[in-house]
Amino acid sequence: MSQFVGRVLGTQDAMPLEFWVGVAEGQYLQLDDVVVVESPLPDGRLIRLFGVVDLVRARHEGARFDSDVFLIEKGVLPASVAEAAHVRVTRVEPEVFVPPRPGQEVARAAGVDRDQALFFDAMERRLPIGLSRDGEPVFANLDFLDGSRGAHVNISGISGVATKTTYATFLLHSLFHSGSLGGRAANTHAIVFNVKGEDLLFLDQPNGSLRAEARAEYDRLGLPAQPFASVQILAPARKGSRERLPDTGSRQRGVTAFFWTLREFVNDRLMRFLFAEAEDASSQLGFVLDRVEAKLAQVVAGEGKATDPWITVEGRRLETFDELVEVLTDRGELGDQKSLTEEWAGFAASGTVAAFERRLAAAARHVGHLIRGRDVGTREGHRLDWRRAQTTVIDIHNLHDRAKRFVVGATLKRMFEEKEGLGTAEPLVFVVLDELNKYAPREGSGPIKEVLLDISERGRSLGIVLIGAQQTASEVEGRIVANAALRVVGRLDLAEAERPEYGFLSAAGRARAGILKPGTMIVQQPEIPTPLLVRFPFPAWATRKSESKAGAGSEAEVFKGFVDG
Amino acid sequence: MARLRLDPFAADYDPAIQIDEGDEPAASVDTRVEQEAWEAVRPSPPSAIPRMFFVDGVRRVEHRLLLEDDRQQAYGLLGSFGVGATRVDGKAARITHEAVGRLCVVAGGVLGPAVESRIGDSALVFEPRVVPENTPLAPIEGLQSAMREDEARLADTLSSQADLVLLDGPLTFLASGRGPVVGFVKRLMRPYLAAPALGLLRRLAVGERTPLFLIEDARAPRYSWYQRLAQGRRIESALTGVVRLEASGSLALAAVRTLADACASLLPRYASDSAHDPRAPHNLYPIGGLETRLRRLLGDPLLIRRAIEASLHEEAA
Repeated sequence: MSQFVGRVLGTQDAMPLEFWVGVAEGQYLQLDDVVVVESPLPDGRLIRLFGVVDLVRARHEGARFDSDVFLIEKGVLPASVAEAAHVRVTRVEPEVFVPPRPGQEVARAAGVDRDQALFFDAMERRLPIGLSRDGEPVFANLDFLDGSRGAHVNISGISGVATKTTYATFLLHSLFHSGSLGGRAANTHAIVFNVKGEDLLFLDQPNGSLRAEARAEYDRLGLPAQPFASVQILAPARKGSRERLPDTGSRQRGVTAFFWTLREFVNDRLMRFLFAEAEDASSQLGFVLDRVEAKLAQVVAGEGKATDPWITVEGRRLETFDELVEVLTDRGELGDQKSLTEEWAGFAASGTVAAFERRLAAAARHVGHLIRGRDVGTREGHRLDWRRAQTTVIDIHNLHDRAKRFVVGATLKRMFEEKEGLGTAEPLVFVVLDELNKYAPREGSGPIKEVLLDISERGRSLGIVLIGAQQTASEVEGRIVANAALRVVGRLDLAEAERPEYGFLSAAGRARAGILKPGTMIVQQPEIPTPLLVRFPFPAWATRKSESKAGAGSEAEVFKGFVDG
Repeated sequence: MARLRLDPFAADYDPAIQIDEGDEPAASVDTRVEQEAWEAVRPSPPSAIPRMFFVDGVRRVEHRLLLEDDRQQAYGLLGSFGVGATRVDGKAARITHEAVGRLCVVAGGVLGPAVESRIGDSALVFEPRVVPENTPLAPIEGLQSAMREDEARLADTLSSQADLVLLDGPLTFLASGRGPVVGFVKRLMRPYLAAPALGLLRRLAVGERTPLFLIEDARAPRYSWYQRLAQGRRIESALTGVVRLEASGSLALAAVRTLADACASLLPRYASDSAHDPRAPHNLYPIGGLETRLRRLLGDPLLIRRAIEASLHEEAA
């Protein structure tokens, strides 16, 4: 149970929401320790204040000058060391906001007291989100993640050190296996965009570097130390590959290539996602785009079957994206005729039309191979369908930025529309997207940002939960960050930590964000008025080829011949 | 040619140097108990720092009183004092003993009342104490002796646990005089030596002492010596850093010599610096630290003053 560690200080102001504790001889308090203090009211009631330590300090008492430390250590000047800890109050029961009385006993909260201090007792469906530094599980209220009362997670942190995507996958693992989702877990999906590196391509393979201590941590969290069970890995079809081979790096097996057919591109009106770069919908360019999209859809509707990959425009059968671009922008051999775009665009200024055509041609270079009108094979085998597995990893790290945006925009739009059509929050879909600043930058607007904003503002009721990550929250659309119920911070640049996006961190929290180790995050959630520091266990799934057990095995086999020979 | 030199103590305190080399010795003094020659003794320092205690006290007048009726009045005061000890063993200095006493001292042989006042949840009780003489200054002397008695008692108790107990001030109140207790007099007040012998004081180097001399006067006989704790600054009197120590005359001469040698070589280590202490270098660090601590234990003077007034108001009502 809770154990005595010190007393409320009277030399510093004790307040209902923060106070100082004098640490008793032979005891210690460290950052993030959870404490409880009981304070009597004159009417005999007992107020219990719970809090988290966010500052600790030690100093010599009886010393006045800096140089006294040398005299004291020499054994000449008598002085004693006094330790004190600053506590941020998380909860007051019953809610009578009086300061704790100086001199009151302070105890390190354990068991029921700790649950109460961190509101875990009030969470009906609690999701393990990591371990506190003393090794106890830390929970989040699922109500704020599955859309019941809130949704979305936003993770900030420096690339490489902050382990943002690893934490995102840990959250998914916890969602799928903690049992907090109940029967819905099996029908819950995740769409994970692998935007850089290959960390997320081995989610389905056990991590060969997983140690016994990490397994024990999973145990403590009540989670299995196992890789993701139902995973499909999708990669864009390789450029110029008639066989529709997936374009991936070190992972070859079990990867499915995906692309869109020209007909889908036209029917689903995906052209706008080629024009992601902060083009305002109300601009002239947006107008031309709308017209061309509408006209194309209209033209295509009259011919072919829905399953035909190709389309016919102006009597010409188009089988590649380049051909579509050509049809739209052709001005005749002499260049003296009106292009189709120009015709369709009506009153748009010729400069705007030219800009549209230029951008379309530029996009064709990077995105064209993702939109096919022939060599589509069994269409079902290459459709980007997130329902086929519980977790869908979409690998776009090899794509040009423009193509990345296209895939993200097209995928999310389609999924959003499907969910909108269903009209229920089932099945729940979690979307993991790193580098949010590229897709929903703070400045400007664009079709992809619109989709992400839609998800962040309406996704809650549609059962779409965005787990977004970025280096710096200050570069991401404010509404997306603000809508996230769970705000997570890994290692932060200190200048970045001073920005108002991180206002939930205390001054000490900001300083700590600058020294967080990989595997440690600061999590802020709606019910707990103070951010909590959590450690999450080493991933039980491989995050690179060398970690995947299968990979390691085959490598050993390769070298076996050399050793024996 | 006379030179202008400073007394080392800050002006808020009584001067450190109050002897005049022209004065006649105040008591019968034998300067040849240790050796014939009156010259500096430089003991070699002990191999290890012995277990030592520094015993000291502080006092404060909270309120002056008058106990009066229609015909006469007696002077009195309400005062607090603290007594404690710092233990030093070469590795660390630790305050090991501390106690606070509160007294209602009334002069003229009248036992005053115990005065009780309350601050928060705690009660301050000023115990009655009598001093025979009825003068305005008598009560403060009563408070002072109460403190000195407690200091001497503590020193006596500690003397069985230590190699050396340094008691702040002369040994006036020490009852037994059998333990290794040394009185430490930081002000040069009463002249015990004649002019030629006093000259040696100025020439003492740090770590040196004068030979022992035996003082026999109205009080119990005691051995005494002067030693230099530190060299004063050039602008300070040449007597800066010179203190007088004394040990009970009932101790064997050899034992006293051991104590004197230990003090002469060890105490300079604890001499304070003028940046730290207004009575540097005479007020030793372990004593200065103890005084700070004890003063804090006496409590906030303003708060106590008000509490006393409040309790007298209640009584008068």
